[in-house]
Amino acid sequence: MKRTVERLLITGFLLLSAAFAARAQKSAPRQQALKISAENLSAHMPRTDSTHVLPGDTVRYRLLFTNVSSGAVHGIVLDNPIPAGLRYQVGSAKSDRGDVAVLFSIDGGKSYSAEPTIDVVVDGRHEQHAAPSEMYTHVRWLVRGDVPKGAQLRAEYDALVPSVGAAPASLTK
Amino acid sequence: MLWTRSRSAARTLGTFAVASLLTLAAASRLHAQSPTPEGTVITNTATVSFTDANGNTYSSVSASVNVTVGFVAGVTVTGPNTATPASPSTLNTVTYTIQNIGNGTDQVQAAENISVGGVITVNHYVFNATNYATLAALNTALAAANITQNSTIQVQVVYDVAANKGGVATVYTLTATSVRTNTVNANKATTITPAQTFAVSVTPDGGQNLQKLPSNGTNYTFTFTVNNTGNGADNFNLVASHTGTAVTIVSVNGVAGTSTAVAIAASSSTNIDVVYSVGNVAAGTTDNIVLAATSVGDNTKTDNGTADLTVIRPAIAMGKAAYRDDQATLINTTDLVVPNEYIQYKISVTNSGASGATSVAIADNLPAQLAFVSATGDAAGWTISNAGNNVSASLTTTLAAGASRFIWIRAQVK
Repeated sequence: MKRTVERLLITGFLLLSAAFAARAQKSAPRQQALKISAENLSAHMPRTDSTHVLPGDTVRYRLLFTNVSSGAVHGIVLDNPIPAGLRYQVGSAKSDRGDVAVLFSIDGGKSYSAEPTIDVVVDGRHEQHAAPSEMYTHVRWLVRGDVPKGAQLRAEYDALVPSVGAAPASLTK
Repeated sequence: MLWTRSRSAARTLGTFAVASLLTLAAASRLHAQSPTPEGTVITNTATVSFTDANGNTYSSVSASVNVTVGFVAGVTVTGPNTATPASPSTLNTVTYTIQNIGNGTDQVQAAENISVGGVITVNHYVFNATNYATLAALNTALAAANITQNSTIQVQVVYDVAANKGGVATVYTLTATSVRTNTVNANKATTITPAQTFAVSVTPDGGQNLQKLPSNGTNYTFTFTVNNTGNGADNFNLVASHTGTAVTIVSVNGVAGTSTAVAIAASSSTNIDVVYSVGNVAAGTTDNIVLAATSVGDNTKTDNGTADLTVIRPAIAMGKAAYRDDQATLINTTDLVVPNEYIQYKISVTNSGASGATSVAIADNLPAQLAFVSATGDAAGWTISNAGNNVSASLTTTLAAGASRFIWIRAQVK
């Protein structure tokens, strides 16, 4: 009898654990884990008006990740495709943690690199040159460490709205 | 808060430092991009993925934010840099293309400036195949013409060119200003330089029959007229010469020597004095003074003016005849005179040359068998004196070519 009760308790515990695990895999944390905001950095627009930009303006996108789960999380990857029509401002991407690597894609998110390069043929020789900013398609933040329960991670970057009168080049996205 | 920029962080995590390679072929996908159109909503969606401490994976979480693109005006004006219409001419056309490089539909207003007045006059404007007599009328039409993003319109400026403006440049500037943002404008300047034609004529061309004495220190001046018959201001090289042996050129237009230069306005003329001397050559010697003017702008344009000249001299012939005291009865060589008889000598001078003679003087020394009594001239103008039988008579006036004068000397036979 005692063994039977033990088996039932173990079985029940396992079922409950499996049920909790299955729930954890299929559903997102209850609170909003990611927020993104935009700020127009250009002086001619009110800082409070983040919803309107003009060609030539620089928009700062801020990403805020909050660990709303019940425990620490790790392996955090923040991906942000640069919106079509905007141009990434080289050097602007950063985060508020030291264990974050910022990577970029210039091929639509297929591959990432901290410093994307392009192959340029100069005098018949292949050389690796830094990719121009207009070729950037994605920004990715890779967090090496854990983010404790309730902690936040901030990341941001700037993007330029192509201006009037310039002859900008942009990667077809 | 510790903010880590991308490159330093990437170096600490070399694991991720896998360079993405993109060949130039891929780079060729780069293309020119117009400004984002007004009203475009730009949606930025970020995604986060993570695991928990036990390696459980969670569904990715996304968030988005929208921004809307407002209006920024942009205008360009293109047109020719230069134009070279004829002068005079009418209904010349210069075409300007106005493009809306802003990010929304706009209209423009036109303004113009002409740097140098009097060269061109705007006749009218053409927009959408319609003529507008004034800029105000054109602008009324332009105000109603919506130009969508990246679209263009054309404005033709039809102008006339005044006469005699060859080579006179003026800059016509057309400025287009955005109606929606009137601080945004662009302009195009066209330098209009009417084509210059070069031509010259020098007058007269002979027929003067100048008659000049040998200079003997006295120079002569002949005035030519140099006409700039081109349509623009020009400089002309002047060279004086002569075809014969009588003349020596002294100066041209006040400059010693045979050459100089002068600037003459379009369709204007200037008088050029050529100073020359005549050598001590025989009467009747002929020569031609030539002034050649050559355009500096086009040295194939040249013309000569000519003055023809003949050297003249006076030629004096003297006659002396003896008369009875009645001044009418000629004493021939076979006639006799008697002591104490009064006789009179008629001494005449005749200028048979082509030039008047001045300082004509007669000297007559009566023979010792005679005693001087008196002397008179034929008319006013003689100054007569004597020292015994030596009689002197000077004509104070010019003895014109072909003219003849005489004096009477009365003497008594001893």
